[in-house]
Amino acid sequence: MWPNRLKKLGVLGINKRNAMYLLPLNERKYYPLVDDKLRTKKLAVKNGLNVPHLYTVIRYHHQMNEVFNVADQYGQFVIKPSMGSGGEGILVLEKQTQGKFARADGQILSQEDISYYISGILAGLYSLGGQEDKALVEYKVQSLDIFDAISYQGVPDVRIIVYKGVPVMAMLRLPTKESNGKANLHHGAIGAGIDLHEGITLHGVHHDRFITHHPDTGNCIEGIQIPYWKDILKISSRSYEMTRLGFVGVDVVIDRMKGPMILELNARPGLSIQLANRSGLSKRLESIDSVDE
Amino acid sequence: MNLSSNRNRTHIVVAIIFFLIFLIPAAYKIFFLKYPVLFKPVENLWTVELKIQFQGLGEKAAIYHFLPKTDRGQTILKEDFVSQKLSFTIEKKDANVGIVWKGKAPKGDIQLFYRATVQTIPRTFEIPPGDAEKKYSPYIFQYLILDENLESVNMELYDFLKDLTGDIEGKQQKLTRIYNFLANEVTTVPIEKSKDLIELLKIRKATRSQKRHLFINLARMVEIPARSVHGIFLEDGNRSKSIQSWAEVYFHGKWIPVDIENRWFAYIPEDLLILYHGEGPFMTASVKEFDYRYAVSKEKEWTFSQFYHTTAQIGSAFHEWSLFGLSLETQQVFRLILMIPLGALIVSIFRNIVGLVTFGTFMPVLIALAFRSTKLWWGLLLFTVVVVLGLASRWAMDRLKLLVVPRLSVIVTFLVIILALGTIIGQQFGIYRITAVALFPMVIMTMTIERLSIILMEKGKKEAITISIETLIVALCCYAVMSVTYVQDFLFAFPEVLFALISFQLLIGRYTGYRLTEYFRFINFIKGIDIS
Ligand SMILES: Nc1ncnc2c1ncn2[C@@H]1O[C@H](COP(=O)(O)OP(=O)(O)O)[C@@H](O)[C@H]1O
Ligand SMILES: [Mg+2]
Repeated sequence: MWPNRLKKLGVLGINKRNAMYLLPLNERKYYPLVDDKLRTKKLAVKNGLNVPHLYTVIRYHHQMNEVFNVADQYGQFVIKPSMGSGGEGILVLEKQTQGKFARADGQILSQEDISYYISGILAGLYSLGGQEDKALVEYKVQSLDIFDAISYQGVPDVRIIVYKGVPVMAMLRLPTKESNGKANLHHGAIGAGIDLHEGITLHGVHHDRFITHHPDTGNCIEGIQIPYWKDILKISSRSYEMTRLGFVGVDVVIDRMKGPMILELNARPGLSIQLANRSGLSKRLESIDSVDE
Repeated sequence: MNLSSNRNRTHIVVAIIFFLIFLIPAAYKIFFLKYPVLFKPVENLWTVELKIQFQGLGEKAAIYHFLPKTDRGQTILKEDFVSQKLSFTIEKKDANVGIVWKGKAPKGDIQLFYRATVQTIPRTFEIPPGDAEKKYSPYIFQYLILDENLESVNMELYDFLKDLTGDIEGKQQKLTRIYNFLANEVTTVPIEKSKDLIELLKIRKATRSQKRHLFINLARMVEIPARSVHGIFLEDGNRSKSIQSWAEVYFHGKWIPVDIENRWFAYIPEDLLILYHGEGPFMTASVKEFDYRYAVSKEKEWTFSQFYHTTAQIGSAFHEWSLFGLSLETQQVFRLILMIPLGALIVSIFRNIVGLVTFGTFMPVLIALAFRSTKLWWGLLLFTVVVVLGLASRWAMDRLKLLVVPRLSVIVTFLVIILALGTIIGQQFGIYRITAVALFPMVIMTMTIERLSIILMEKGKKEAITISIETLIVALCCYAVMSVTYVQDFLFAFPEVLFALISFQLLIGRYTGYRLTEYFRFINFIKGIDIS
């Protein structure tokens, strides 16, 4: 009985995703474009897309002090491993007095702590397979007021699945206490499905279970209009011509001043987005294929 | 759409072709060559393989060694001789059978193989009542002649013998006295204290082989024919070059074994394969860098391999070119290697159809192989230690702030320390399994650590524990399947099964249905909560 139900609903499983979408549509040679955030960023800028401004890249230990110059100049900034994934190794910082820095959760770090952290990134602590990596120091995105009620500490992002340049499904990912302010679902962030046409949030999902309210703030996460929705769709669809990847997950954040910007692209997007939307991907993907012909 | 569905079918066609590549030879073997598909259990069946190695110099070479023969308590069912370069002749001499390998040995490594299938039955010896005979045939008479170097000290030795046995009558009683004296009064020492037998008797300290020689010579002096016997222990997995030697004495037309060291009198254990009688080394050779080793394996069933040996005369190419034709040592390695694709299939099924996540793709197969060489419980312990150490490393990263390579090195070092301690403790308590830790499982556990720490990094602690457990489940399933002797033998006799495995892999490779775990993940869909 129930095996059929998943199929009828058009839920996309991992095997089918790999065999029918990733393998034929995402050529291996283009993966490095998205697996290395620095390359993605450069590519996006070249294509005239908005990204969080890159303050500096630290490749070697002797460049470490540049972080503190950035701190002096901008006050707030984000350090992240260029080849990290799953929200690992991202440090959102704000300069305090006397060479101290505060993380989003209030933890105080010294300059030494930060130097140490960066040397970890350089050594490949957070990169796939432990390869040596670079540390990106970039603009800290300023969250919108409307998201304050439904996110805990971090900045929410919008994940859009783009198939052959067409956005097919989207969700708003909301950080929780459990996810440590990160918007990654497997860390315990909430995903809320989005009506693709209107840009209004639908139902939520937390650890693959359906929810309606944010567990930390207690506010309802349904029915929220996401600003700049049309722009977000437009930005995300550009990913296809930019990377030649036919099946990608685009992460978009919305900045208070600068509007929507591309945070990163993902060549192996997760499938929980279907739970958040209570809808299967297969149907939508097939309908695009039929338009193609 | 049509195009893609056509492409979908090609893999099925290829899978069918591969399956036929399996099916046709297998059916031929079963129906025409009458390969057995099931085995019968068997007792006391052994395969002994002797491997001789030397360095050929482009000159003539000759090697002589003895061969076991069908004798009381042992039947040689089948023998094989393998040499690419040398010819051989088998000769019978007195009580023994020997073989000479001879010919011009080309430059380079040369290997010779002798393989025998042996069945043993318990031996019993009875010493007939009444005194031993007075007269012997000339053949037996040679076993009454004393060692040459003893002739000069004859008198002293006779005096000693007189002291020892002068007060009793009867050869048999005298022999018992000699036996008891050597067994109880003379201490066995590992290193020769003296070369002089008289001296040895005075200090009452002698090596095993000196005691045997003393016994033989003293027996001969009381006019009982005596000689050495040599053999090897039939113990599964016994690989060595050490030859057991004991003595035998002649009574009423029968040779009765005596081993002073093991206190066997008219008894030898069933698992001893007799190689030759008399003095002298087992093997003599006129070559350079010469070495030999024998390997014993117990056959639990009349397997495909016995079938192969008994029907080799069929002369089919399938027989001649099969894995059974390889040397025993290589066969044992291949038995394991053939299991790897099977393990890989199990991993594919678990990953793609069930949906479990494992460290790396083939880690579970390797872990299962490691479990085989450590035995399961010790392997499980090792694995648990690895996972705990891996989690501790997360702590080390957070608190001690160590970088990747040094952190992994610390864990590996800890693993080695635990292993060393475990081995020492195992030795103290006589748990030999633990002392048998090999390099291979260590390498695999080290790789596991690396994979685990990457997962920890990328996905966090909870995920890492889940993946560890799932890896273990898959590894245990691989282990369970791979340790079934029947499965091993079947694959060995029908290696074309590998083609069937390929065809299964092709089908799994194109399986686009849901994974079992996805039914749980998407359970809310299934339960039918309102869906837009
Ligand atoms: N520049 C930034 N400003 C604020 N928050 C950020 C910034 N970059 C990343 N984040 C936070 O970290 C999360 C993960 O970042 P992302 O770049 O997508 O890395 P990953 O590949 O690890 O998912 C984002 O969803 C967001 O919550
Ligand atoms: Mg992301």
